[in-house]
Amino acid sequence: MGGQGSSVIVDLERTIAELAPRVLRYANARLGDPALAEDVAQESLAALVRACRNGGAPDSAEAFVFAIARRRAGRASWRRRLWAPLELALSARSDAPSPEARAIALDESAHVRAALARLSSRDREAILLVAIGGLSMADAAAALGLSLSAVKMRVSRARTRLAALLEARHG
Amino acid sequence: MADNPDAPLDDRLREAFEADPRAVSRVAWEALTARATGRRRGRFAAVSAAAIVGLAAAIALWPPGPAPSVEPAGAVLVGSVTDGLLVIPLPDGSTAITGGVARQDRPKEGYGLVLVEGGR
Repeated sequence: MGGQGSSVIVDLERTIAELAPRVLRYANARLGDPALAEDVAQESLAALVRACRNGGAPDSAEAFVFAIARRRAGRASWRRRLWAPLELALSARSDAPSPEARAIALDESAHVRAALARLSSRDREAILLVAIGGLSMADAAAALGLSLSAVKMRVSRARTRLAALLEARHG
Repeated sequence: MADNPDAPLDDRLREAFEADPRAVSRVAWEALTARATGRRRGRFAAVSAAAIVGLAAAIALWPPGPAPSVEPAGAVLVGSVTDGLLVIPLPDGSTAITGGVARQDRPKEGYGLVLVEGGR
């Protein structure tokens, strides 16, 4: 039993190490706020750790973590929308980047984010999970609660539109 | 993978949102050591639930206050309710009629005081 337990821990550590950059990248793309993305990624992975240690390891760790990350990112996004006007009224934090710094930081990430913002929320969610989160179509379908064919259709539509939008920006 | 037509777009998306390696390490470490946090949350939830149950039980089992001391009038009035109106024949032969409008703030049961006005 001891050997089995340690192998589970090693597997869990390996799984967490493998998932951490992917879920962090996904949360960052979804929220555009590194600190908030870090919180979301950490909470999602911690939920997997707790589930595994309590003997309730999910069938697909990836689908489990990304389903939680998706839900938490949604909540974080809403909370931020509620607080944003107040932060603006209070002139936000003093360490916030200046408008000039923000303009300079309008790099590839900002271009891609702008293109993603023009997709429908359903298509955007699908491509974020598959392309940025690195989920398989089957895991993305499980995380979204959709059929495999529906996810494939959304991802395909998102890729086509996104490619056109990014092409247009460069053209 | 090389002939996957979607690979360049997917790579571009991933590179645009590449995670900071220090943040990745931090997230992984925090997730793996989050058991204490989970326990703390669980304990907090248990204590909160116990407090709520205790409070609800205290409210439910709290003894009712003593009845207000109303001096008996020395007479019993027997009335009836008809179409929402309380009709009370008074000892002097007159009849008191009250009610007619259902008030939301009136308790359905409990102690109360009825004032009957009228000349003898």
